[in-house]
Amino acid sequence: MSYSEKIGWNISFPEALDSINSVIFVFAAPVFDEKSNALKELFNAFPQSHFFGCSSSHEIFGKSILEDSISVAVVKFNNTKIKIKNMPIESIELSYQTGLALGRGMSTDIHMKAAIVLADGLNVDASTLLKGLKENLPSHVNLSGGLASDGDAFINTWVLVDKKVENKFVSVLCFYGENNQVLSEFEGGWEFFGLERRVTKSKGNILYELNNLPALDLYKKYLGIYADELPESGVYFPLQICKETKEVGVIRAVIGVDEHEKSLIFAGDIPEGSYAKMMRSNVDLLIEGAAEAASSIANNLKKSQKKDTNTNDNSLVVTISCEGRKRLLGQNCEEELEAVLSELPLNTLQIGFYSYGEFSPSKEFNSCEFHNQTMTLTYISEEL
Amino acid sequence: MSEFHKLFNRQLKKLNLSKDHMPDNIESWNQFLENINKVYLSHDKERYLNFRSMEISSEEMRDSFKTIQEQQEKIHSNVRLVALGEMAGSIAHEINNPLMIILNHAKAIKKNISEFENETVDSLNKSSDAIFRSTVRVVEVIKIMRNLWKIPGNMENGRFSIQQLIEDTLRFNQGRLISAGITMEYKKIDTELYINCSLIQISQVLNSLFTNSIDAVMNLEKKWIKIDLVCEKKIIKIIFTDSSGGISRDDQFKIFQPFFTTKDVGKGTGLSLSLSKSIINQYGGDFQYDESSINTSFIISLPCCS
Repeated sequence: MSYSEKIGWNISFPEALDSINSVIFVFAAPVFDEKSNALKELFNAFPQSHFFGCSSSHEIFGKSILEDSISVAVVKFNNTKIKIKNMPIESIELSYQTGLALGRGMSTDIHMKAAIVLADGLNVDASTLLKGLKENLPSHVNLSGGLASDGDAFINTWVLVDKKVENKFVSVLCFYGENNQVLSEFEGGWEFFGLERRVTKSKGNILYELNNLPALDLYKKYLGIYADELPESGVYFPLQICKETKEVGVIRAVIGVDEHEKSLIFAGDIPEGSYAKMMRSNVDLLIEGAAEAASSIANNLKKSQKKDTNTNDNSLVVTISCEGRKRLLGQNCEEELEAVLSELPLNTLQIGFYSYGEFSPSKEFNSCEFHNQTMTLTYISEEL
Repeated sequence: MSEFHKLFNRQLKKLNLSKDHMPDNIESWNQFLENINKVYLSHDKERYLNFRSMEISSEEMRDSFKTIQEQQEKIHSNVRLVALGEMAGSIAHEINNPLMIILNHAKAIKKNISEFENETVDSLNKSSDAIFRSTVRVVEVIKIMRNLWKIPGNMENGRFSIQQLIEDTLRFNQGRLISAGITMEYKKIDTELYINCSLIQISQVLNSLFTNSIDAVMNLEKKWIKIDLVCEKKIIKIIFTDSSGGISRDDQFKIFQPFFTTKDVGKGTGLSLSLSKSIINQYGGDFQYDESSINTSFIISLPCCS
């Protein structure tokens, strides 16, 4: 279901689904908080359920992209145990320790199958948070997720913690048991091109120099007449960053520039000494990428289908797509949502948000990595 | 009217418009126009940036390739200088000994003439014979060097006998082998085999192998170098082996990298094997370390043109 100021809630609340084993996924524009009537109504309608969600640049609801709205999915599990674990991020510098502590609390959860991670999009070093989290988490746990967002404003991003909106928090929804399927996939739809360059000067998420030349100059050269539109136009050329030369790496998107320092600010870390390759895409490739991510899930579903078991007709896909993709796709953006649903089983419901970054399961690294500019899908279904 | 594009349909739907329903007001009409215009602009932008990325990256690739080529040429020319230096050392060695003999005998003749007596005629004859032999040797050395290095035609590609080339290089290195006490074995085949190459470049490869082998076996108890020449399926193989105990597995992967050397500092440039490989590859051949050998062995494979 969805909420907008103009229409209100589009359907009446399915209160019968309220239970201690229910999860209410909530993705909302940052302007909403626990004091806003819409969220109050929602919290009151499902007193026993777990709430899991975050602020978003734009909300995904079915095949539609909503703005200034709340997108909600109510999921009642019959054979799956769920838990939500929250932890404050005291400071960006303590992101790794936060992840470590969070993972430590789950290290003994041997029946944990999968987890979705949502974190504040502004007050976290997402790469190190994830690194810390993975350190103690059993390796079989399927991780996915994303960063809360705030569109172009970059002011207020929150995650839901015990029916309150909280900045500087990370929230993890954990799935337990054998009678469910939680599958994650991601695709970018980007192709790298040109020379591989060495990151010769960087600090955190600020890139100063590639091959000893100012990174900003390089982007201006490539953007030509659109250089004036930086940092927005930087979205057309994300970087692929690898630790070693000629590896497959993580994707990083430009979110800011510093004209004085001639540097670029990215939505993720750019380690000094790593290797960078520029990437490009177009509307068709991005939509194809989204379809490929969904198609991989559909193939995995077929492979893992147990004989003589029936899966629930209703399944949910939590779609986390990067805000940068939305800018590039423009009015074609809903096509990537249509592409996802067209590949997944019928009756799959879609909910999600446009994020500041994605925690995406990587085939190459055989673990979850922090990316930008990807379409990350988490498919959830339960066996009857 | 043809079917509308799906994006156009979406744009219509967003503003509750259709084929039969025109905008109710100017705001709605303007919004509709703006949405369409945005798509055109964004299409132009995408096309411009994609084209630009292709153009600039291709240019960068070309520049980078050119720089690599220039660096490679620089390395090649440095290696040639090093090779020339090594050759100059060999020349000095080869010519110095006979010249010393000539000098000593010339001194003896001078002395004998000043104290001329009948019985010294034999001695003078012996000295003049020695001078003659030594001079012939110097002439021979210079001739071999001219064959290998000096004749302008040898810089260019041509059809050369591989046997002749190996024998010339062997004779050129003979002095060094003898003074280091190294036994040389060359197993040739009777049929004359030809390769298309630059004589200088292939000689350079063989000379590098000689230099490396002489350095490697010089202080060993058993000192030998062996060259086997075989031809299989129109591929000539020169198997160059010395008595040293092979190259460690770790180093085997590095020996063909430029500037890698196992020699002491100042003794090796680390360029000869990488350059040799690129020379052999240039003629459609292959240059490999033979890891199956218990000694240090390299195999040069070149297409036979006979």
